[in-house]
Amino acid sequence: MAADEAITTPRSTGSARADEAITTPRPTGSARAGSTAVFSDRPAKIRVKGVALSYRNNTSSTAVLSDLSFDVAEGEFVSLIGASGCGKSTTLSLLAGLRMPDSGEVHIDGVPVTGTGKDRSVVFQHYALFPWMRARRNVEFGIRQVSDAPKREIAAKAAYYLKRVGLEGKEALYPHQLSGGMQQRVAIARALAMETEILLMDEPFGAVDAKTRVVLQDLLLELLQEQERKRTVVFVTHDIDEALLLSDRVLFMNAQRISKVIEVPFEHPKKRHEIAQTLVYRELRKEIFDMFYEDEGEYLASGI
Amino acid sequence: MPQASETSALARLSRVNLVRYLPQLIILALLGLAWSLYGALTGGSFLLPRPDEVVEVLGADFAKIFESIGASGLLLGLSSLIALVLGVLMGMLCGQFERLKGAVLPIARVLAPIPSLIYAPYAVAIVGDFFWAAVFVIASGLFWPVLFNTVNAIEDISDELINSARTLNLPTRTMFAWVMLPHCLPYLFNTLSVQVSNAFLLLVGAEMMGMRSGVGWYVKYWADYSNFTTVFAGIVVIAVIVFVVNILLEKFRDRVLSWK
Ligand SMILES: Nc1ncnc2c1ncn2[C@@H]1O[C@H](COP(=O)(O)OP(=O)(O)O)[C@@H](O)[C@H]1O
Ligand SMILES: [Mg+2]
Repeated sequence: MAADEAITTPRSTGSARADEAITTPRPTGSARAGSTAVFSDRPAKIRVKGVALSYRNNTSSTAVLSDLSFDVAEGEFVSLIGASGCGKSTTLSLLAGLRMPDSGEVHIDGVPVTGTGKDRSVVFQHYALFPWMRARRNVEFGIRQVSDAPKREIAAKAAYYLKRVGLEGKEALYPHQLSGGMQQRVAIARALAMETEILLMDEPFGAVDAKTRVVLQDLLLELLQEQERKRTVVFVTHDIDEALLLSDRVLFMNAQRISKVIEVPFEHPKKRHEIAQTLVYRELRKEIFDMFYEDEGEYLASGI
Repeated sequence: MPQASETSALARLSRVNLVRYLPQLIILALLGLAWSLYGALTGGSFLLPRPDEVVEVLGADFAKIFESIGASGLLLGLSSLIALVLGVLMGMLCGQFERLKGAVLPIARVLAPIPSLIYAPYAVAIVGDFFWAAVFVIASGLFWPVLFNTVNAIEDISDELINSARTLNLPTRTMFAWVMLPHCLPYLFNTLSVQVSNAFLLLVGAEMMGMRSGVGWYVKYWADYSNFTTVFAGIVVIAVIVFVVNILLEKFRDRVLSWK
């Protein structure tokens, strides 16, 4: 768990220096000012504005998002981070077009999202693959939905991406014959092979072991880096290090909206060992870590 | 298993099969033995002939028996196919449209327990053809379990899988053919293997109501002449067919569901 891991970080850094590390404006007290701070000055590929959403059933209605606003620039990698249950997956499902907001706007390239689209591919934590298709077929099946290329070309592309994620020789296996980490590799291969402009990932490494997670994070960084046209990525996680390693910006979610935007200043190509040693990294890590704790006051009070 | 890896795949396969079917084979052998003993001790009787008498009939009436097996196979295969196609289609539609499900399921629960052989006279009267009346009777008996299990299967699809499919923008046809149907297959194979005995009851019943061929007709025909040696031969044939159908179904399932 991210929170457990985070406890080992030194917590002695001064708040003045932490302020220097943050390049984005701090959110102010009012919700209005807070929500304007989440728009960057670059043209937005994805724009979410004033979104509210409640889950309703017969007896009750639970507000999950209210006045949620942020944008994502073209080619940007943005992480959504926050405590579990704060609405990250719900937000991602809005971007995916799986769900519609009660009010507010979700725009992609300035056009309102009305459903799923061929410009987006999604990687989920679980069950992203079809159990009845071999690894190769799963990837080809994805490509075929967005491309009219001849069969042979699609097969070659699937083979290429499976090789790139380290699954050469495993193309003919069914998902149940693959470990969780391998299954996520296939899901990533499929999402990349579809070559959509936007990549949406919901805790894609949340269910794999720590060692595999590190490998997959590096692999994702590398693959995204070498793409001719940079993908726009929205990545949901609750792992602070993962967010800092992968993202250009981190959006912290709390109280049904984005409560804080953090610019991550590291240059590509990022090397996890190098950036982790910098002061800026530790400052940012502590800042996000403290936000988690503010969130979970009772957790802190319990003395764990 | 270290030794198994040294033997050829074929040898391994047949050994697995032998082990799997060993209990059934032992029981069959014991039954055969008991029957032979009975034959040797009593010399057989009018209602229960000796095994060698039955074997003699099987050999002598081979052509007719063979033809009957073909006719029954056609009837059963066609009826099962119709029940499967209609049941799966209806089940998927019910899975897709809650309203339809709300309308269909309560009626289905009332109709399903009625033995479909009751419809036989009506089916003959309406269709006017014994073969298609028999198809109707068998298919309508198998339709309900297929429908219920398909509805059940669709209810069991995880939201994650559906969302994954939706984010791929699958056209409706692809969604049905490559997501819903494969998901339902394990449920359908379960249904089929449970329904094999029911299907044969229906088959024999339907054939007895006025067909001119088929294993059920064969048994009924010779029973009317009180030729119990031939009746017994027919029963043996039916038993063997059921046994073979079960094994084939199992093989087919293992093949189709190799992804499980
Ligand atoms: N389908 C649903 N129906 C009702 N409540 C839901 C549903 N999905 C999520 N929720 C609730 O909405 C809140 C946000 O969920 P989610 O977006 O999955 O959070 P996260 O991904 O950040 O953990 C949680 O309190 C969760 O219990
Ligand atoms: Mg989630």
